[in-house]
Amino acid sequence: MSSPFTFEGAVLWLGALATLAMYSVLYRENPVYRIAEHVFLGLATGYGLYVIWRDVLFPIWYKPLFREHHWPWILALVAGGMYYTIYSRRFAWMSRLVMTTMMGLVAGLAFRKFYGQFVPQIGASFKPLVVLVKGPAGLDWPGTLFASLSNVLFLVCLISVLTYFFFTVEQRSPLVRRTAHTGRWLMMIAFGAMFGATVMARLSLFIGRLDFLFREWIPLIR
Amino acid sequence: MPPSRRLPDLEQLLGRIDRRLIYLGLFLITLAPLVGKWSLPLYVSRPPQLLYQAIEALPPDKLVVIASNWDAGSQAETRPQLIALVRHLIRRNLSFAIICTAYPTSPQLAQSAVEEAIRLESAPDRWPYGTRWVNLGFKLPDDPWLRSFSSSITGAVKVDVHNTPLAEIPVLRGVKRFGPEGQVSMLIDITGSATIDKWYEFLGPTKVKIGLACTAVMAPEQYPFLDSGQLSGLLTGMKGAAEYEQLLHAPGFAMPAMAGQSFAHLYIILLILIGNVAVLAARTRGRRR
Repeated sequence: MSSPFTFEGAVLWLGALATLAMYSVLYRENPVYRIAEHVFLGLATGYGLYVIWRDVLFPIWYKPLFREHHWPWILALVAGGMYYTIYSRRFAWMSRLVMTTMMGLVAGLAFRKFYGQFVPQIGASFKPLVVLVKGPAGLDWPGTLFASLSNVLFLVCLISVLTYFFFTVEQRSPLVRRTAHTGRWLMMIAFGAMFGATVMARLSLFIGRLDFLFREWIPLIR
Repeated sequence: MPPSRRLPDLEQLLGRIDRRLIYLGLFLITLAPLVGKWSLPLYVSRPPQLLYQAIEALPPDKLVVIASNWDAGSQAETRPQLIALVRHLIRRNLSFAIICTAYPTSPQLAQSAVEEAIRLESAPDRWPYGTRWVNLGFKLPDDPWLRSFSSSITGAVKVDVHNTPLAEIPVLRGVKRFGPEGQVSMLIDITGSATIDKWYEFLGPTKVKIGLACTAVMAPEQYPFLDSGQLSGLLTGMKGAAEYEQLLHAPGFAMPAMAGQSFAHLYIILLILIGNVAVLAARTRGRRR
């Protein structure tokens, strides 16, 4: 275990004690956990503000305006300041001006997002139901069967889930109701997979901390 | 037997277990394989293989851009992914640039991870900063900036993380655009945040290859993009990093750590089974009464 009286050692010890303080809540709610939580939030907020100034506001706005004297940048301050008029009943209409402008911009950009993100998916959902997979000696029957079944399953999932979200008419017909019900089950399976992935992610973070504690702080893992 | 002296049901017994004992069990079962170097077999799934093949097929004279969008909160998953991918780029002799658009703390973390990857590949002499790779630092990813970045990298970024003008950085000489016609052949987003959506939106039309290495939480939502060809490959959390290390035959943090992960999963599955058996037994008993 490294000495806490060198710079590297002090950093290591601080990291280890902060980790233990955060995990102490698993035993019970306690003041050490609370202190560690507040210190972390304060540090993260302070550091975030500094970095936003250093990497965003200073190079993009302050420097062009006050050092290079590009005066039109003052308009950014005016527009930004207009947001804060929301706190005044008399001048709140000014905040609505910038908000509606931004809403219009974002709505326009949403079309672009749809084109870039979702249109290729619509195209990719048109799959052949019979896929002929060729092997070195003619048709690969197991491959053909698997690829075709995979595409049929994809189509069943797509139609079932889309039917579940089709609310234009009441789902009275047994066929539509059963298809929608299947869609609901399929979504439940997907949510289960997502939950499993979430558990895996949280365990990974825990293993990361264990690795830090028992490889760097107390070298148990070699 | 009088009701007061009857043995407690399994459900009651389980309900009496202190939750802290369950946490202690998870702690021990996760730590033991890491300390004892126990391992379970690991196989490489298709999404990491696709990413590996995509990088193998990249032209050697073009740049790869790595969007390193993770911070300390998700580094157990994303740091080994970045290290493994950079090791692969070094082996393929592909130059790269790092850009961060999600967390202000990312550039420092990415810098340290890339330096470790270079050290692991014994390439500090062959991969000097500025000549073979560059860290472009943190940029606020608003839509106008992303639009500018996707059409001209040097138009959107003026200096690197050390405030050196891009014109003085050899690796970026002549680099401007993404895509088959441009000088950047691939963008790999290593992320703990929802940054990939913006890359689909802004880089999709350029036809540049996009790879993704994300936290396990985000991965299930990304499979449709892999299926549609919008993604060239996908790494899922620590498992993805471990699979990539296996593909490279270069064990790092993720491969041994997956032993702890697998044993912890077995422990959780066992707890779920015991809980369900107890509930089913209680229901059956209730019906009999």
